[in-house]
Amino acid sequence: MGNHGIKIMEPGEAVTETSPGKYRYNSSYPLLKIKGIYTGHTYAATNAERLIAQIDHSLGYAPMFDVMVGFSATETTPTTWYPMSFYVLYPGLGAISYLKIYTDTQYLYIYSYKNDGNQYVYYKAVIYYDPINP
Amino acid sequence: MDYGAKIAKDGKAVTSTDPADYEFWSKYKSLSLYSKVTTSISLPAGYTSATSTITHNLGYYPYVWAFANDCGNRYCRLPYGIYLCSDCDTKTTVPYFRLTYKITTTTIVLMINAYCWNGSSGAAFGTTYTFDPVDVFIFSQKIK
Repeated sequence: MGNHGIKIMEPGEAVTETSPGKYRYNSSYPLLKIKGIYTGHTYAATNAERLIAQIDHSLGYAPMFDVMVGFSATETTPTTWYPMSFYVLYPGLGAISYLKIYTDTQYLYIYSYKNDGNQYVYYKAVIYYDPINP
Repeated sequence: MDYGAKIAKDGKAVTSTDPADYEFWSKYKSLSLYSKVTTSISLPAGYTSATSTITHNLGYYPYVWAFANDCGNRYCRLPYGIYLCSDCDTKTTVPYFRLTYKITTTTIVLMINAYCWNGSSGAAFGTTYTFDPVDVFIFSQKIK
C-alpha cells in the first residue's frame, strides 16, 4: 500500500507538503487518546510529605500523563496553575518544597512536600491510553 | 466560512461551539505523535554533567515530552530533579541532580547536571548514575 490515509493541512499549506508540521491532522501520526481527566485537592501540612492523589488507571502499563497543580491557603480553587513533573521547585512554595509525580502499571501518584506553611494542593491530571513504555 | 472535519463526543451535538465537546475538530490543533525514541543517559562517576543527543531533522522546533524510568522503577515526567540517596526519596542527602532536555530544529539534547540541593555548584558523584530507559515523544506540532 502506498500513500493512503486522511490528511488535513494547516491553513495556506499545499496538500503536497510532506513536513509533519504542515498538517493540522495526518492519520499517519496518531492523536493522543485520553483515558480520563482527574481533579481533586488535599490539605498539605507543613514539613511533611503528603500523598495528594493515587489515581487508579489499571492499564497494566505505564501510560503517558500530564498534570497541572495549583495552591491555595484556603479551600478555594486556585487561579494560578503550574505544570508538574518531579522534584521541581515551584515559585511561592519555599526554597526546598517539592512536588513529584510518577506512574507505574497501576497508579498515577502525586506527592507534595513543603516547608513554608500549610496549603491546599489542587491537581488536574490527564492520563492517556498511550503507553510510555509497554 | 464554516468548513472542515469534526467528530463530536458521545452525547454532544455537532452544532456545539464548545471545542471541549469534540473528539476532533480540524479548526483546532491537536497533539499528534510523530515518533518515539527510547534511549538512556548516564552521569559518569567524576563528572558534573553529561548529554545525550537524539536527531529528528524536522527542520523546526517540535513539541516534545519525555519520561524517565528512575531508580525506583517508576516513570517520571521530565524535567526531573532528585536528591541522590539510597531510596531516591529522602531529600536530606546531597548532591542533587537534574535531568532535562532542550530542543533544536534538528535535535533533542538530554542533559543531566549535578547540583547541590541549596542551588550551589554541584559535586561529582563517586559512581555512575544512569536513567534507562528514557522515552522521548516527538509530536508533529511546532513549538514555534
